Amino acid sequence: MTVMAEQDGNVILLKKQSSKDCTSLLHGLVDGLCHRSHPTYQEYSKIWTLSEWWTLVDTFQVLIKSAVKESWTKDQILQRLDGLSDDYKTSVVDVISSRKEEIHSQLLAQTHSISQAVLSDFDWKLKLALSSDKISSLQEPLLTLKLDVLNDEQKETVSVELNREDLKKLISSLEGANKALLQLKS
Amino acid sequence: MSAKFRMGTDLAKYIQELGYRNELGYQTFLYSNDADIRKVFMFIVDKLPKETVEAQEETLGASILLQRAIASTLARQLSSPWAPSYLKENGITWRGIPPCWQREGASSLCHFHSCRITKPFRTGDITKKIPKELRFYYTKILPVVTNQTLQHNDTAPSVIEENAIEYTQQQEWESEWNQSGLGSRLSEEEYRARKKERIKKKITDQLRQDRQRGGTTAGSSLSLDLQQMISSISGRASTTTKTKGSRFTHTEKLLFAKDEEKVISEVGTGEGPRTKTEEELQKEREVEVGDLREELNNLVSRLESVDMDMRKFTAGIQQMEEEIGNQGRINKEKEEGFIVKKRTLDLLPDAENNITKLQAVVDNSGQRLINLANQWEKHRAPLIEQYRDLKDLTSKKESEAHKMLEEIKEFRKKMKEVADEARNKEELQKQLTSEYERMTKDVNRLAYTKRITEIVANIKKQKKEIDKVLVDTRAVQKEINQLSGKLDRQFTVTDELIFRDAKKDEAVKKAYRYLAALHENCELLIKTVEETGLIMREIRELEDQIESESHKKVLSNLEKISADFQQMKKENAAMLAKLKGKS
Repeated sequence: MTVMAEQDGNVILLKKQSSKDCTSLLHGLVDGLCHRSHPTYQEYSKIWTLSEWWTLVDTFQVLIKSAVKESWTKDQILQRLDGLSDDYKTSVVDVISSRKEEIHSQLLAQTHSISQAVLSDFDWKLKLALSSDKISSLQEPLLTLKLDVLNDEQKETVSVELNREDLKKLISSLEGANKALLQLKS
Repeated sequence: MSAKFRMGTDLAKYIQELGYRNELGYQTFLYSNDADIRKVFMFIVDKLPKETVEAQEETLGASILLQRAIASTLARQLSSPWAPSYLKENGITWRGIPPCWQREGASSLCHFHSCRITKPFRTGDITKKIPKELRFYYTKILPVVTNQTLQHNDTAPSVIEENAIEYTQQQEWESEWNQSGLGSRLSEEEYRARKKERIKKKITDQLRQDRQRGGTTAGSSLSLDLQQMISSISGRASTTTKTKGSRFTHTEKLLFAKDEEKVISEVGTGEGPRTKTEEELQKEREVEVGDLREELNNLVSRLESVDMDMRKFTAGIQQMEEEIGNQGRINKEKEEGFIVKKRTLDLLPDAENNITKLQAVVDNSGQRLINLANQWEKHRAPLIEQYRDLKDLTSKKESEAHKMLEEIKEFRKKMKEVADEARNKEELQKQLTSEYERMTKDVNRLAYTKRITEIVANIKKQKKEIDKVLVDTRAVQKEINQLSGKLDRQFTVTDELIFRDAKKDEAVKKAYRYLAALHENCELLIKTVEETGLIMREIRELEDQIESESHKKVLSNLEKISADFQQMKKENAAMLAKLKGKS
C-alpha cells in the first residue's frame, strides 16, 4: 500500500510538462517497453532532475504494463492518476488505449520465453565450397546458421555449419516440433 | 572370316535399331561402296551430336548456369589487380573488362537482424472509423518505417521479415480454413473464438496436471532421497528464476533453509575451539543428520496428516452444504402443504355451501379448459403445418448449403491448382527466355537460311528452264503432227489425181507405182529413224547404268568376295581335317 501511495505521488511529476508534449513522451516510453528507441534524459534534462526522471519513467512504465496486463477499465486507470488534471488524464488513457495491442503482444512474448535460454533471432548464409585441398571440384553447398540466444539477459551467438544431410536432419526435427504445436492447436 | 561376318551383321543390326531405313547388311561393311557408307555415316553423324547437346542442356540447366557464372566471376576477379579496401565502399567496385559493378570480399556484409515494425492497422477500410486517439498516434507520433529500427541497417530485414510473417500467417490460416474451417460451417470470427477457447482449455488442463504431478513427485521423492531433493532445490534457489513452486516445494525450502542455518552455525562453532577430533565431529554430524532427518520425517508425516484432515474437512463441508440444501427443499414442500391444509381447514365450518361453490368453480374451470383446448386446437393445426413446411424448407436449404460447401471447396482447390500452374509456367518461361538469351544468336542460322533461299531460287530457275524445254518439245511435236497430217492429205490427193490419170496413160501408171514405192520407202525411213532414236536412248540408259555399276567397284568387290570364298573354303577344309583327325 505504501508503494501505491508513493506511486500516486510520483504521478504528479508529469505536471511539469504541458499535456501536449507529455503524449509524445508517453509514446516514447511505450516504445521503450516494446524494444524500440527509448526517450533519452538529455531531451528532458531542463524539466526534471535525473532522479525525478528515473522515478517518472519507472512509475509510468509500471502503470502502463499493469494496465494492459490486468486489462483495467478507463475508470480504474483514472483512479491511479489522482492528482493530475483532466487533460493529463485523458492523454494517458488515450496513449494506453491506442497502444494496447502492441504492449499486449510484447508482454505475451516476454511470458513465452520462460526457459532460461531463449532463441531471439537467427541468420543464415549459404556458401558453395568449390574445392578443397584434396578434391579439385567439390561443389558442396554449406549453410552457416547463426543463432542469437538470450541467456539471462545476455546475448550469445551460436554459430553452426551444416552440410546438406545435417540441414535435412535439423529441418525434419523442426518439422516434428511444428507438428506437435499444430496438434496442440487443433 | 566368320568373325568379320559376325561383326558386320552386329553392326548392321545396331544401326537398324537406331532407326536407319535403307537396306543394310553385313555386305555393306565387308564389301563397301562409297555411296552406301556415306549414307550410313550421314545418318549416324546426324544422330549423335544433336542428342548429346540436348541432353546436357536439359539435365544441367540451372546448376551449369551457376557454375559458369561463378567461374566467369572468379576469372574476372583473378585477372583484375588487387585494390585496397578503402577504394571499395561496402566492397563494391567498378572495374573489370568490360567494367561493371561488382562486390568483392565478404567483410562488409551485415547481419540479417530484424525487429518488429508497427504500421497503421485496419486503415484500408475507409467506412470504419478509427478512434481519435489512434488516428492522432498514427499521424503525429508513429515514426516512419525507416526510423523505427534501432540501427539503420535493420530496416530492410525488418520489412522483409514483417512481410514474411504476414504471408506465412495468411497461408497457414488459409490451409487450416480449407481443411477444417469450411467444414464446421461457422463464420471466421466464430471459428477463431472457438479455437481460442479450446486452446485455452487445453493449456489450463495441462498446467493443472503438471502442477498436480509436480506436487506428488515432490512428496514422494522427499521420503525417497533427501539429498537429491536438496540439491535440486539449491539449484533452483541459486538460479532465482520466477518459477512458482508447489506448496510442497515451498515447505521444503523453508526446512532446508533451517537446515542450512544450523549447519552454518555448527560450522561457526566448529571452527572456534578446535578441540574436537575429526572423528568426533563426523559422529556428531551423523547424529545430527539423523536427528534432523527424523525431525523432517516427523514434520512431513504431520503435514500429511494435516493435509488429510483438511481434505476430510472440505469433503465434510460439501456434504453439509448438500444436506442443508436438501433440508431447505423439504422445508419448502412442507410449508406449501401446510398452506393448502390451512385453507381447507378454514373452509370446513360452512361445508355444504362451500362444496357447492367449489363444484361451480370446478365446473367453470372445466368448461374453460375445454374452450381453451378447442381454441388451442384451432391455433395449433395451422401452426403445425407451418412448422412442417419450414422444416422441409430448412432441410432443403441444408442440403443446398452442403452442396455449395462442396463446390466452394472444389473451387478453392482449383484456384490453388491454377495458381500453381501459372507460377510454374511463369518460371518455365523465365528459364526459357534466359536460355534463349544465353544462346548465341547464331551466325550459322543466318547462313543456313541464306543458303536455303539460294537453293530455292536455283530450283525455281531450273524449273522455269524445264518448263521452257517442255513447251519447245510440245511445239515441235505439234509441228511434226501437222506436217505428217499435211503429208497424208497431200499423198491422198496426189494418189487420187494420178490414179485417175493412170487408167488413161501408161507413163502415169508408172509414175503412180513410183509414188507408191516412194511413199512406202519414206515411211520405212521414218520408222527406222524413230527406232534409232529409241535405241540411242536405251544405249544412254545402259551407259548410265554401267557408270553407276562401275562406281560400285564390282570387280574389286568380286575379287574380294572370291578371295573370302577361297579363305572360307580353306577354313572349312582345315576344320574338316581337324574333325577327321579327332575322330
